[in-house]
Amino acid sequence: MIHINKVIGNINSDSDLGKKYQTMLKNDKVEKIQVSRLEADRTRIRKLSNKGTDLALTMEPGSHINDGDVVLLTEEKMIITKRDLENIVIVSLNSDISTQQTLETSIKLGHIIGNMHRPIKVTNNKVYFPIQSDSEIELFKKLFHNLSKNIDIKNENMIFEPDLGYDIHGH
Amino acid sequence: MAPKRIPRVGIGGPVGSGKTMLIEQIVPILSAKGYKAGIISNDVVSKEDAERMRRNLATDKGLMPEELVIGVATGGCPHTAVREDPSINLSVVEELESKYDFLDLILIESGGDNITTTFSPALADYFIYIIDVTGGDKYPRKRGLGIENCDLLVINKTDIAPYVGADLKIMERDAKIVRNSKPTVFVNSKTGLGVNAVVSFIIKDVLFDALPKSSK
Repeated sequence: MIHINKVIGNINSDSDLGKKYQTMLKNDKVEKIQVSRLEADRTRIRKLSNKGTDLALTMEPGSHINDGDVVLLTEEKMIITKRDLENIVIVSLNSDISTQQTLETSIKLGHIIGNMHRPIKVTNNKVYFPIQSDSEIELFKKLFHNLSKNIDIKNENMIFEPDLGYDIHGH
Repeated sequence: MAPKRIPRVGIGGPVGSGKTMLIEQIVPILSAKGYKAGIISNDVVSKEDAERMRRNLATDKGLMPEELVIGVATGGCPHTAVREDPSINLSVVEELESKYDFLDLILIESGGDNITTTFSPALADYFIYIIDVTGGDKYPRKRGLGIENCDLLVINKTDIAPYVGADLKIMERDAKIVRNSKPTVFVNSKTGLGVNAVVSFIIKDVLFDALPKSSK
C-alpha cells in the first residue's frame, strides 16, 4: 500500500505534466484510479489502480480531486485519477426566444429542477443536472412540456461538477 | 494546533433496517481487535438509540466510556443533518477529536430515512447503507442514491428471508449490477452473522489496515 497525501498536478492544466503523461502512456507506465463525484471531495479513500497498485489517499479537508490529477509520479510509474462519467441531462435555451421568454423559461426550469432536488451546473445558456437512469429523461420531458417550444433537451455521459452551493438535496 | 482528524464512518438506512444493532455488533469486534470507537447517533426527535447503545456497549459491556456515545436530535429530515448541513454533527466530531485523540474511529449513525440518504464527504470518509430483506428481493434493483452510492451495502435480517419470500441470490445479483460491483455484505445483526466482513471492510478501506493507536 502506498500512502498519498497530495495531488502533484493535473495533466490537463500543467503542460509539462501533460507531456510527461503522453510519453509515459506510450511506454505503458501510466496507471489510473477511478473516482466518483462523492469520492472527489473526500479526505480518505483507498483505491486499487487498473494495474493493481494499492493506494491510500489522505487528503487535506476541503481538497477536491479532478479528472487527470497526478497522485503518484516516479521514473517508472504515473498514477492519475479518472472521474466517473454520469448520465447528465443538458437543457439549452433556444437562441431565438425573447428576453422576457428567456427570463420566464429560466425561472420555471429552476423551479422544476429544484423541486426534483437535483444539483445543477449552469453555463452558456445551458443547465446540466444528473439523472440515475435513461428513463428519467422521459419524466423531465413531461415536466418541461410547457416549456418545450423554448428549450432543447438531451442527455450525455460526462463528468459532472455542480456549481458551488447548488449541490444535492434529495428526499 | 488543530487535533488530528479521526477517520469517520457514516451508517444510514431506513427506519428499522438495523443501523443501531449493526453498530452494537461492530463495536465489540473492533474492541476485541484493540480499536477504540466513538459513536454519534442521530435521531429525529428522541435520543433513544444513543441511550440504548450507551447502556449496551458502555454501561453493561464496559467496551467504552459512556460519554463516547453521543445522541443528536436532528428534528426535520434526518438526511439534512448528515448531508446538506452537517454542522451539528461536525461540531460533535470536532469535540470528540479534541477530547479523545486516542479514538481510532468515529461511527456516525443517521436517523432512519429513505433510500436517497447519503453522507456529506465533509462528514464521513466512508458510507455504509443498510437495508433489510423485509422489503422483498426487489429492493436493490429499485435503486436509490443510498443503495447505489454507498461504499458498502449491508443487507440485514437474512434469517427471515424465507418467511417474506426474499431470494438472497436475486438481491446479490441485482446489487452487483446497480452498484457496479461495489461490495455488498449479507448480515444477521441479531446474531452477528456476517458482521466480521463489515468490520474487515472498515479496517481495510477506512483505517488503511493501521494497527490500533493503543498498540503503538
